[in-house]
Amino acid sequence: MPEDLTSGLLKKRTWLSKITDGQLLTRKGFALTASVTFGVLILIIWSLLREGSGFFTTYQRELTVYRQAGLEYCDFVNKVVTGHEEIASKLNRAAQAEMAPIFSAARARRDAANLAMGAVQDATSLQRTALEEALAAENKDEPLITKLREELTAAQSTAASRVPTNAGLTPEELRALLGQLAKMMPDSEEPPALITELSAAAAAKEGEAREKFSALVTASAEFEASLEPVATLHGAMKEIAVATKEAAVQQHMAEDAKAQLLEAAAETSDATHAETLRADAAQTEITPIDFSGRLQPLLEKHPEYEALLPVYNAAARKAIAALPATAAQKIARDLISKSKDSFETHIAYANNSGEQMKAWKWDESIPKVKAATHFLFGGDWITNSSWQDFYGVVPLFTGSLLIALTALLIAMPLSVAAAIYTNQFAGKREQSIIKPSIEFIQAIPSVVLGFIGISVLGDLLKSVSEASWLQWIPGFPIQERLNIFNAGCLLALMAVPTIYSLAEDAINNVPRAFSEASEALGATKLQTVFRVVVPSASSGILAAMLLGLGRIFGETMVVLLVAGNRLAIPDFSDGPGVVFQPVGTMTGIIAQELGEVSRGESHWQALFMVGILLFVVSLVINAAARVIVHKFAVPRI
Amino acid sequence: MFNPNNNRHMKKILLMAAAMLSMTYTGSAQSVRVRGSDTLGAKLVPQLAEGFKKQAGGVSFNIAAEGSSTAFTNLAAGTADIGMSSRKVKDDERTFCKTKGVFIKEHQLAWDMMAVVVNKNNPVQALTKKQVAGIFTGAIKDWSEVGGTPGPISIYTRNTSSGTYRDWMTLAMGNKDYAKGSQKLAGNEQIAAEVGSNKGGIGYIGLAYLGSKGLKAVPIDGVAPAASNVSRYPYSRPTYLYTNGDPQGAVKDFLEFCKSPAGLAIIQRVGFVNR
Amino acid sequence: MNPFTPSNSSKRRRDPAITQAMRVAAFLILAVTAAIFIHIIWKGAPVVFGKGGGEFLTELPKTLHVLTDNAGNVQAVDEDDAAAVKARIGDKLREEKTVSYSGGGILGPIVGTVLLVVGSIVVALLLGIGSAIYLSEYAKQGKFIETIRLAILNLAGVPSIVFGLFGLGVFVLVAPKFTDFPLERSLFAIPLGFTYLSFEGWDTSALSGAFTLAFVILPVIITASEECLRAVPQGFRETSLALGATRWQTIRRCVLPFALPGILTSSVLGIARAAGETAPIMFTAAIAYKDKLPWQSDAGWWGALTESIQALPYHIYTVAARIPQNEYSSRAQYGSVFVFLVLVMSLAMSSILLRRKLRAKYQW
Repeated sequence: MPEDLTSGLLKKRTWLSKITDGQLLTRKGFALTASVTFGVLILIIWSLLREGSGFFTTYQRELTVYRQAGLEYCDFVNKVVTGHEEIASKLNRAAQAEMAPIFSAARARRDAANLAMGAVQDATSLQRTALEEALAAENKDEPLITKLREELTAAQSTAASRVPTNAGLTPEELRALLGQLAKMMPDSEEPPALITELSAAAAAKEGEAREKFSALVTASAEFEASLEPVATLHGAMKEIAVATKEAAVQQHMAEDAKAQLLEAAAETSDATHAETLRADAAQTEITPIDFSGRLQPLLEKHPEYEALLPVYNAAARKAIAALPATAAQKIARDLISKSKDSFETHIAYANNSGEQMKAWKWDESIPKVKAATHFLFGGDWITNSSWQDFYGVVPLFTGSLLIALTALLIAMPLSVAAAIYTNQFAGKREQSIIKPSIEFIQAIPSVVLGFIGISVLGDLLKSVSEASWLQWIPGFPIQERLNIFNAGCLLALMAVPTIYSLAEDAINNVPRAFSEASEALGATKLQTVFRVVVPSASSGILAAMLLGLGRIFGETMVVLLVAGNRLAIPDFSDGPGVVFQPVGTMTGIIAQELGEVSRGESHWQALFMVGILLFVVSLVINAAARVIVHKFAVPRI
Repeated sequence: MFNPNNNRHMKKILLMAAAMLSMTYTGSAQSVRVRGSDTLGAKLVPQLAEGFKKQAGGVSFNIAAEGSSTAFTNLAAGTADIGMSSRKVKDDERTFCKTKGVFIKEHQLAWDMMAVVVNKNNPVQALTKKQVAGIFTGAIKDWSEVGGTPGPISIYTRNTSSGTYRDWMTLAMGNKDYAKGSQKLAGNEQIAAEVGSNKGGIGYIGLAYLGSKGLKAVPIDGVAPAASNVSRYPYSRPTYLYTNGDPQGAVKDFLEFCKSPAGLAIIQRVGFVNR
Repeated sequence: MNPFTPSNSSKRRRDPAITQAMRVAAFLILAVTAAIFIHIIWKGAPVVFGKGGGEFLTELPKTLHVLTDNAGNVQAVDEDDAAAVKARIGDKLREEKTVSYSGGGILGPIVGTVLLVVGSIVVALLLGIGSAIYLSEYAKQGKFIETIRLAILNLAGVPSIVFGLFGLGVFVLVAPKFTDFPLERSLFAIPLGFTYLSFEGWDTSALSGAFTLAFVILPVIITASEECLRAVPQGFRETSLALGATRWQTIRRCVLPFALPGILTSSVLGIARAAGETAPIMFTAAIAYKDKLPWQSDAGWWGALTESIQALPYHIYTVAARIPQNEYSSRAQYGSVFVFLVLVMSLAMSSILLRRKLRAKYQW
């Protein structure tokens, strides 16, 4: 094309485009931007893998040390000890429950008086501190002390008059108590007379109870004492194992240090500096740890342990046999029969533990796969432990999942119902209010919701759960204000806009012909909606649910603030009441612990592995949502 | 990843940063970066810093309190001038710092007492050391076992990076691990808030945080947590500041201020103990 | 017979009930949201608009001192005024409590958030719109581009904390910078003669945080921008090209103007998201307490990029988790939450208004 024909259309060429082809340059420029973007997006995966990749090796090494230093060996005994503690705790509770009817009234009276005293002391702490300070001063200012005493008495009598009337005390007693409380002085040795009296009465009742149920009390105490020799031995064994482990850790650090020094020496150009570095490296002594030798004293304890087992068996069995066959209180009865049941499995394990320990081999290697399965299926997330760190993701995964399911259970019906309503029933005006408002919720930052959870919702839920007419709900009254349900409610609100707008889209996309056909057949509006429109949109609604789930699962701030951070698999024995327990989550653990570990540690790598797992889970959820939409989409008409 | 547009700017910034690096950090920088323990960093050190600023002026402080472990990770990385720790440095941490060319020096600050707290409405009036150990290791699961009203015990602990978390294991739990059901919270204030709102709660906090709502400190073996009992109370411990080598410049002045009468007065007022 | 005919009257009565129940669900969601907003406005607005509101927006966070004298009078003052008040009370002072972060204002966090948002949006728009134009206008459509598109779409659903890890792993620890003294952790350092280009990262700084946030919102911006570009009818391009315009002229004059409303809307929504995120900046930029603005440090104005900063969302996390909930701390807590909410909500709102305005202008 001749130049003059296009000159009207094309902009005059600038100096830059004369040097090179401007078109190509623009194109290349955009391609560069795009490739930088994609490059970084690939970097995401690379960086996660880079920081997390060493995890299985490190964890394998740690688990190997755990075995070679004999910590694993000690844990056979540890299991006996914890099993014993479990039963002892049950028996102790049974004894307390059995005795409770005798002393509970006396105790309640004492506690009421104590609480009243505490309330008065709290309200007058300023005056008390002032008096205490005056009394403690080196040269006592007597007039001041007298004045402060008067002030304190006055303050205490006002405070006493505001004490709520406590159950359990007669009006006369209460009056006497309040009088005595008003006169309390920090330098008097004796607590108010009535409190001493009530405490003595409670103690007497406790003594009486112990007398009456002496069989149960003694049996429980004897059971507790029966483990004493084993526990002592366990303690001694642990010390040996921990010492070996410390040495192994030290040695590993020294190896690292030496490697680093040598590396630095190789890199530096300054010859003398390199020489000093090398000298330093040479000084770092690395003597391989003689695990086998260090294990000897531990293994030598084995015969002793074997000898203790029958003694423990006999003593514990005797104590269990001495338990009264029946108890007056139902709680006590249940606890006793439960202890008897678990005792059999416990003692069977204990008797077998000697054999297991004999079969245990310290030099059996731990394959890398084991480290991976420990991470993926391990039930313990224990860090900064004085014994052994474990990185098992199961408690965190269950926590995340439980919260997500709770949130979904709340958000799903609400948002789908709202979506159906706005799309099918609402008038134009209503639609123009509801739709943008719900979509607007999306913009609420999660940390704000977390703050609401910690400052308002937690206390609100707790006080609601204490209402007497709600006690049929499992898990009520709630003990912890930070729990799964609290976090679930807030996350539900976060998921609503996602689910709502996607579900509404899906319903909107159902061809008009469907509903028209249905209505032509004489179906009512509701029948059309629920039998024709919603089923046709179900794949879209399902996808909406999945994307909502993805949003909840990956949320951090709400769960960090509100979920309670208990790093254990929740106790499902409560049934649905489990939602009122606190949990730890995968996102929460990263946010809480990453700031505190140093780079390259196993803990750091473990947290990045959790991040990788989150990444994978979110990709799977997204992909699933997409597949569902594509596979089951309604054909367009 | 690296935006070419920022190239020139970055270079300028970084040349400047490099110039700063070439002088010793602690010596010349007037901004003192303090990292570490929440026990110290939430109240005591900020107030000491304020007091110091009033005296010295011109120095700015930059304090982050995420737990004692962070003191050493930051010292090692060169991102802190002072590390606050509520426990002594561990051997492996010292070695780790050494591999990074950081030789840490210890300065004892003040004594802290960890009070065992329960809800104000909890009738339990006293506990023994054995009971405390039993509760925190999970051997004791119900309040009725220690003379309270029946009900499960909710255990609140600090998070794992905290020096207090570790110290508590040593001082109170015979080096055993925490019960699985324990809840790990970010700081002293959070423990105070949860125990204050949960009738079955128990936790430990520094003496400085005792004033919170709904709390009650429990005497241990008959000894109440109070400044006058510091030698008898079982859960008292010293706290430390750490520096990279011998302190210099503003850091040195600050450490001296902490030991001066004005500093000691602040320490006492905040609820720590001079011993 | 018509199988759908209601068989009895109970169904006829049930139908409206079900409709109403769904209506209640819709309005329940709105009611809960409204309750949250009202609660925050009720408690937070007086902090900003009431007495001392100006200070709240123009001062840095400070420690609050609660002083009680012998008579039981309580005064809560900032650390600066504490000395004067204490001197006045003299030895009648009975108790002094402190509440961290509760005095002063929130200027530091506001400045930090603004820095992060501006930085991240610059990066995200440059990369995002550029990539979108490439994907939709230049790239040869095929399997490869489709895969990339899908990958970007999937990244939009990745949890923000994972982006935080990524920002830590890349921007804080390995991003390249010029330095005369490469750190030991440097991945590799390229000697340039007068200095080094060292891959050692930017540390926790506003820059790291802004880049991390940019990549959090990038997938959304690319996807949305590309959608807007592709929504411009093909005919526009063909007409322009047929008249002899170059590709870039076509894009510049015939495609971008029509796609702009959508792109701007999604960008502003992106800004709102960037301003609201906490998890990505926790390890890359934010710090709980700082007694100076970023540019008041030794690094001078560059400190605005190289210093770690306070940011509103992280500040809210700090005041929610680290200080007690009581009458002294509620000012800082609700005030910060209120300001933050107003900021984020007005960004989101402006995106909606912007869309309306621009839609009216560019219609086809």
